[in-house]
Amino acid sequence: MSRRFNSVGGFADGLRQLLPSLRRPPRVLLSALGELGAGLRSKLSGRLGADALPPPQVELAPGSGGAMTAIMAQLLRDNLADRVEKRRDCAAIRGRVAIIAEDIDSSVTLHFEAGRVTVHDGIVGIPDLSVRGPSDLILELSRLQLQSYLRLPDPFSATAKSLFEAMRSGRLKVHGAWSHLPTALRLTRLLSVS
Amino acid sequence: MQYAFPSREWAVAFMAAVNNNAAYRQSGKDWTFGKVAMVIEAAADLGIAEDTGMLLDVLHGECRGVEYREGEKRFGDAEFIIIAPYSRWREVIEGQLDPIKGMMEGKLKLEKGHLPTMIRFVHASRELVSSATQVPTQFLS
Repeated sequence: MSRRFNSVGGFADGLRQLLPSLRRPPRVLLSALGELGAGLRSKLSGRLGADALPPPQVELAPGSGGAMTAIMAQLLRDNLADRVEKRRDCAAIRGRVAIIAEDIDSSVTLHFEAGRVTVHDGIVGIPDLSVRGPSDLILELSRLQLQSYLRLPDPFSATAKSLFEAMRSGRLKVHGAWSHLPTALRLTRLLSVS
Repeated sequence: MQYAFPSREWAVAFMAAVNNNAAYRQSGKDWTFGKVAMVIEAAADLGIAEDTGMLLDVLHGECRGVEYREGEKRFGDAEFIIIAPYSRWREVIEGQLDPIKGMMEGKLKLEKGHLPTMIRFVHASRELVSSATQVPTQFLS
């Protein structure tokens, strides 16, 4: 069974081998394809119960106790407790994600390392990915509907359309999404309540 | 006629307002996750000796019943418990505080309940609050 999953997940690697003649491999495309394979694999493993991963630890950093920090930690804990495929996504994320709610003057940093998440008040370290906007739009991000098999955001959903519009108008800003595309997609899945 | 908040009469008027809210019927139609308690923290200066509030029996976009509870009765049978000081509930009822934003700011606290479910039904929550703003309310001073 794991060989099948590896073959799905290794799709991007195979594609890399097929494209040696390209001077500059389209890395964004390859990572997106790899992520697509990972989404499918994680969906399959969640359904089959093949990866009975224990829920990753979600901890508040020492001295962190802000309301938004507590909310983000609770959202992560509840989501991870519910779904095996989210645990797999969480285990695969490395780095820091900053979330800044401008209207309530609050920010949090999610630090992912080795299947463990530490939630900090404020921006701690240099984030790989940052999301900045009003609190209602930040919350709306977690309401993005995922396509049932690929577990990628459904671009035609009403929520996605309103978020695209918010990004286009500059109300919602996401920095680092293209350079850290797998992290962005995994984080979307991890925080999604759909 | 104005209804004192909090009181049994206010709770009943609130239930009627919820059931008259077509937007809530639509946004809450998939709600099957249990009763919701809205609890006011005890405030001796306002004459609220113990935690007081109401338990809403909501299902499929309809409020099937409301129970006003004072003092000795607890809210352990609610699936979701939202607790806040009187002043915050007043802001919510007057439409000045969005309940979800209030939770993110720590002004309202989800004491019990599954947060992802709450977020999924964020529009239904807002419609509940919108219903509350329709109730003619007399606040404690």
